Amino acid sequence: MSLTRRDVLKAGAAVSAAAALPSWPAQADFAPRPGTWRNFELRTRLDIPQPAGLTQAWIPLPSFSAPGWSKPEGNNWDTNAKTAEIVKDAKYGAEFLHVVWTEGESAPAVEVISTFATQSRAVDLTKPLGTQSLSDAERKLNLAPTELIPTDGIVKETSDKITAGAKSDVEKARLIYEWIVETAYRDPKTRGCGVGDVATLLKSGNIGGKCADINALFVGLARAAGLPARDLYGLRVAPSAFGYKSLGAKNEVVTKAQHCRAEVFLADFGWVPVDPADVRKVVLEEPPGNLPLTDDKVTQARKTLFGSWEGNWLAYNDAHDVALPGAAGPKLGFLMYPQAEVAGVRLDCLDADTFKYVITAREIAI
Amino acid sequence: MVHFFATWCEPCKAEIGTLQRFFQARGDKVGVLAINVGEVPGRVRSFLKETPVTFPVVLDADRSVAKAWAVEGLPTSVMLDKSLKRMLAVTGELDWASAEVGDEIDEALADRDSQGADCTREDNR
Repeated sequence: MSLTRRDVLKAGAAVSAAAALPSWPAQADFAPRPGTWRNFELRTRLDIPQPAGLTQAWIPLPSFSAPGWSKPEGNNWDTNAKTAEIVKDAKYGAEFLHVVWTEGESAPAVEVISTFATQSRAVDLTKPLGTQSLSDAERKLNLAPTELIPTDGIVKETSDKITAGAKSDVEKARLIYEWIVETAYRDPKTRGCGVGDVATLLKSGNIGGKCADINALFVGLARAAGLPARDLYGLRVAPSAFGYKSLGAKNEVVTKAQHCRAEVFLADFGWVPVDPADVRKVVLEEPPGNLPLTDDKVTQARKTLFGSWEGNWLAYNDAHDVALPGAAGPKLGFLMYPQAEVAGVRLDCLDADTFKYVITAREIAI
Repeated sequence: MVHFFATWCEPCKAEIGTLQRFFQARGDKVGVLAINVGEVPGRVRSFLKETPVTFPVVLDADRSVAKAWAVEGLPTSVMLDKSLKRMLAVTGELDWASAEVGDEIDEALADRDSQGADCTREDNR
């Protein structure tokens, strides 16, 4: 049988397109700057409408600490469960609340209140800071493949094509970022934030999805190029202060505001924030919608989101392949949504009919 | 026909409809087993409510079956003969309702049947 698989890997053309980009004009409006901590309270209320047999839940907690921009500050909870305890993933340090209800509990419920502080980030890639350190263990972890982000096969082939001829790590990272912005698209039909199956995405030739797909693609291509990189899974918690309707929470209810971002480690700069998925979100969603890449809002976002991001977002964790203790179901590709199982069956965390949760976020004074 | 798919995979959504039409047309000659890769039961159930099929669908929740079969992308379809030997395999979207694919399958089935006859003769020696 002749295979009809589409091979739209136009890496050569895409790299050429990236190289041909005009030099960026002086930064105008979208310019997040570090320096001001913002404190937030996050409330996650979860109800299991149809309990049966053993009912348990796992709720992600803010647990990603990074000097200068991310500080988890504690959790409290109220529940009618038999047990509730904070569990830390051994490999990544991701924390979650594991809640187990007594069989027969008619209305399992839990509310978790977490506090955290964050701020904007901006790395000036024209001013090297000198060699930044990354431990061998961190380097190994952030170069390794995960279940859904392989670094060989089509991921490696694609990465090699994109970064061919690059003379520095900064250039490699930039080429990957620009290739994704040019090649990927945000698919509004993708459920949640997407799955993040990078190899399948590339093989399909249909590089559409949301943040968990597009930014995972950045991480996979960067790792395959030898650049330590990581996904950070989190939540938008406040509107954008820069007028981008698509890049912030619409109000205090952030139940569907999950968003993951990415970082790449560059020797002269340390961890550098990137978010090509949000560039594509600006393209699709900023009014009037379906903006061309030449639109000013897009060009600003494209420039800013390689090296900066706004501090209106929480990073829960950077974990992959997360095993939930006591679960009957398989490991998770990532832990960004509350999870639950009823009688050994994993619920669909994106199905509001069987699994109800509400997340609210508000900025607080300290 | 063993067909690996996921509900989030855009080409899979279109393909499973044509696979159903293929099954309706050739179900007497070819059995179809669809394997969902890595998703929770509720999500697959919702998907199948919108896109009903009459062939069996099973869950590969931890992707172990897809790994064992060296599935490199979705959708992937593998056609086996009666001895479970791979006859055909394709990764990527395919229009199972198209005449071109139907002809390819019919040809493969004809080859299978003729090989089966040869085996029978050998077995009778």
